[in-house]
Amino acid sequence: MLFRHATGVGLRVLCLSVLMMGLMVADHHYRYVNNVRNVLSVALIPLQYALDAPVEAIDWLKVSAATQHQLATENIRLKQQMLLMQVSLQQLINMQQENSQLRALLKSSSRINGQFQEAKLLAMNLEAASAEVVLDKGSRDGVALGQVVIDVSGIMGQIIGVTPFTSRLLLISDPRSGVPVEDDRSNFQAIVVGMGASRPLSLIHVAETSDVKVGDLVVTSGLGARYPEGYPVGTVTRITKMSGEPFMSIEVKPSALLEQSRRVLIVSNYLNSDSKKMLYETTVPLKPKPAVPIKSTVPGATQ
Amino acid sequence: MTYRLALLMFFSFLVAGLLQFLPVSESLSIWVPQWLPLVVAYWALVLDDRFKLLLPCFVGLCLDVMNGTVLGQHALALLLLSFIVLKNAKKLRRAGRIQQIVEIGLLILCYQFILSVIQGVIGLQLVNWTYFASSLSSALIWPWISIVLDDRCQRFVKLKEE
Repeated sequence: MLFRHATGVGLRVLCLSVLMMGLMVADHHYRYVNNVRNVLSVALIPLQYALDAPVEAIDWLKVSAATQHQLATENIRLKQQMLLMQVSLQQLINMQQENSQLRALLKSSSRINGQFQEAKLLAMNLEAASAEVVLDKGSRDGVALGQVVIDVSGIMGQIIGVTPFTSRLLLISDPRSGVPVEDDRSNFQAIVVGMGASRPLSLIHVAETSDVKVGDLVVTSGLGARYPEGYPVGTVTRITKMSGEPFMSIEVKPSALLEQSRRVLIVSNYLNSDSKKMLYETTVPLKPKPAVPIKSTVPGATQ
Repeated sequence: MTYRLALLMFFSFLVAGLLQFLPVSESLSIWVPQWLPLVVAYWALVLDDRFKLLLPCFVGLCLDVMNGTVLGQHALALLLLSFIVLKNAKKLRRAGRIQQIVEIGLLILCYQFILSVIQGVIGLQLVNWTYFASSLSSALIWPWISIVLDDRCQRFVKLKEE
């Protein structure tokens, strides 16, 4: 009697385990079960907002407990900052005009700045294996898959999941993330991949003869038409040359405060019509142009 | 399964879920106990042959969605965890407090090991040794979980003792 009962449990566990393994394969290799994920993530939205509530309450308490003197000094400081920003903005507008004129002379496509939408990270203690965070804006606010998220100092990542009220952001430090970049100084092109949460990024497939130095700023190149062009990704902090290896190992420190930023911006509509065409009408034979629709472009192939 | 028991189970999982994902500082986050696996283990221990195996699967899928891991990863780990508990339920229930702490610690360590193996197979091998620190804190928090839930059980549900 006891024995029969025991085998019953074992058999059921075995069946369910096989089912779960099948689910893992289906999810990891084929993305067949995205519906299950979507339904569950919608069901878990209240939990995600509830978790953020204490953090939000502490923020609110901080503001309401601040004295008038503190607020006044902060106000003065912010006004000064704004003045400085506006002065630099004047120069920027001038430079932008100059830039578009020069681009017109070169007959290259003009840059489009895109629209920005503010979003907030929902605080949550997730397992550190993958670098993902949850934002408080979803498809109801116009967030869509593949949109890029930046903070004040650089690229943060891209949107990989959307529910009506939340969205999921894959940080550039995730091993699944790859960003086409170029060296700001030498215009050398390569790809930055993540190495895991709170670890430096890595610039991959860079030959030893390439012009990359420690301290170089790495910016998005706009290749692949996923990330907008010219946003800072990170600075090169270490270059290791290993004998016998064809490529150098290059560490890049992300510009964006991946672990600390709570307020971020979601960028949309930065693509101009040309790049959109290239992205979505891949059946049309492509002309060699800077915007190549494949994300994993071989770095340095154009050189 | 009575209505009251189901309600109690639902609330225990809700509270455990809130505690599991409660935002804490970076240095503290490795010490956050594995609340949900502990509560699953508790119910497997208490309900024994009335324990439904679909429960750990469902909780695991929720964990997968929250963490953004491959669907089924946490579900499989929780399933195996509850299997170990169900197999040893009688022995575990009779064990002394200290022995229970040690055994639960090993159980959570086993759970985390399964998770890291799956991650390794997928190719996300990023787990460092501090990851396993939470099995220690989980073990230490176990007596309190069992005391609180035992109390609730006795007050509201009147579980049939064997």
